[in-house]
Amino acid sequence: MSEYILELKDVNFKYENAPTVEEPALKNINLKVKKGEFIGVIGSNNSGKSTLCALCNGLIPKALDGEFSGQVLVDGQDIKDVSTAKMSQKVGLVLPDPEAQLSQLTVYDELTFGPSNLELPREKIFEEADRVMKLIRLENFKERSPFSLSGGEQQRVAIASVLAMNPEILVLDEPTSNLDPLSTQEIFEIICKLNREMNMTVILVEHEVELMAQYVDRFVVMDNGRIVLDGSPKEVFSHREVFEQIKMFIPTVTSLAGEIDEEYRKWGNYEYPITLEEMIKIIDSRKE
Amino acid sequence: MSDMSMYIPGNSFFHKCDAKVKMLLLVIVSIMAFLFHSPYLSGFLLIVGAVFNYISIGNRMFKHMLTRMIIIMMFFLIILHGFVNPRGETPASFFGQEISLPFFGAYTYEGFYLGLVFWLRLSSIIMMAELFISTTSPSDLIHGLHKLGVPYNFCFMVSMSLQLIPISVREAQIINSAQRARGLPEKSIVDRFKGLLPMFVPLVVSSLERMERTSMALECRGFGNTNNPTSMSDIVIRKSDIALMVITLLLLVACVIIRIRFGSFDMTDHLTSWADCFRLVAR
Ligand SMILES: Nc1ncnc2c1ncn2[C@@H]1O[C@H](COP(=O)(O)OP(=O)(O)OP(=O)(O)O)[C@@H](O)[C@H]1O
Ligand SMILES: [Mg+2]
Repeated sequence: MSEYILELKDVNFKYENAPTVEEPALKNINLKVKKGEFIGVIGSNNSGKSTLCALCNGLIPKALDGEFSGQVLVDGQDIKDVSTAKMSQKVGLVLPDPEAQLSQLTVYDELTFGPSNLELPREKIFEEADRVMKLIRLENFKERSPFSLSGGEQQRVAIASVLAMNPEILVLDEPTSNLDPLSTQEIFEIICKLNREMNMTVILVEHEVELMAQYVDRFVVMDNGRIVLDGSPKEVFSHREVFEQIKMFIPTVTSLAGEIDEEYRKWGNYEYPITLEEMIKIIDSRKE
Repeated sequence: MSDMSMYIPGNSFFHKCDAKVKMLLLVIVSIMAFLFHSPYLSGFLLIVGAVFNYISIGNRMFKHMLTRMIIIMMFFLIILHGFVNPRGETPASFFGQEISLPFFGAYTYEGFYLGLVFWLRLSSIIMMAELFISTTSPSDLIHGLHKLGVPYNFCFMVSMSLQLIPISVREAQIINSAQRARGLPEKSIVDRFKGLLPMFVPLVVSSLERMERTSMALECRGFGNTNNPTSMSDIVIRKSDIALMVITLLLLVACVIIRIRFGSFDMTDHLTSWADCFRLVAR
């Protein structure tokens, strides 16, 4: 098997019914993901993040029509050779629209739906559903209809229902857009824990750059259908000019360090900080 | 409005009963209710059904939509029928008085008898249906259908459409308020009807779009991987379920034999007094 669990090679994709006729949604995408990596994908609206997510489990090119070229390998297997339903054992995809992802009569049925489609044994499914229910704290909603929940609660159910399938790669497309800051952080913690403890590969699309910087191993920055930056948070945020060009913000502390660059250099040979804690540490160490 | 199903969660005998057993019960009761043209068997079934319902869902049965339906039907079938049934001949005496309606004539014994029989037939079936609906969770129902050989995709479609109704209602409300906020007139009834069309188009479009996204999401969760997903229902057929089934089947067989040997006990042509309506054989 190849050393990468997910590999995108020279992928181009253009939606059939795209509003802007000439522009493909993805251009020349090359991405290699190792097992156990936690990748954050950021980029402005329409930069192709969701399209990238749909590639990972084969929705593109199978369910969404368009011109596709290149190759996507999951665990060395071309996604074109496997049905999306089969692929769901390997790649779990959480879509941004929570309500459209729900289909069952109760939250608990929602959790058992995916695994039962994989024909796993009953006991295992119950075990898994109970575990996920605890993890995402859905116990109180167990018997409720998912459609009677608030947007944020629905989003948690959507995440849980994918987690219940225990995929090797977890792809989340803006999974916290309806959540309050505290729940967002909680979901991030849970995803991070799954990544660290169970070695789950995670690809997370979000706009909360600052929060993501605390968790992810690697950032992929997209603009206009291309990957413009790819590397560790430190590496990525050192390219301030690129972020300026694509009109995206970098974490405030990094930006601050950049603004006072001359002064900052005098403090010592520090890298630019990316989280508030790091900055505080640097300042503290200067006091001593 | 968020929950369209009439299921009432609980822990009674009938809640734990397999959906297939309850379906069979419903079928047998429906046959028995129409076996005889006399109030006795269907009346008995109605009472049994009511008792079963009370055991399963207690006082909530009185608020159940189907119980209300039975009561509304009683008004139409017993009271109105007495006046309007074309087979009515013998005017009924209410303490020596006849009661009649303009255009329809007098309240007749035949009308009363036919209405009563028909009401008891229908309401005994509805009572059983109520028992079935209020004690079977929709997912058990779907599983039951699937086990009876209905294809999984079809069962799934049924449960999916059950849910689409409340969602569409909600969406319609959102579209309607959005359009009113932008000044859609809403004064007269005519305006309201005119407002339906601009609501209808976005509703259909958004439902179609939603279905597209939902189908993608379903695929992401393995739907279509198999026609035989693991059954998650905890319900197994118990000994008491089998006993119930055997008893009702025996009852059915007995009733069919009686029906064949002695006829349907129809009294319609022998009614001269209230007491005749409740006789088994004509004088
Ligand atoms: N189903 C579709 N049909 C046609 N064109 C589409 C479709 N989905 C996306 N596009 C187009 O593809 C391009 C990339 O869209 P995509 O949804 O991947 O962006 P995104 O980075 O996820 O944006 P956002 O941050 O708003 O979610 C856009 O120009 C968009 O108009
Ligand atoms: Mg998107």
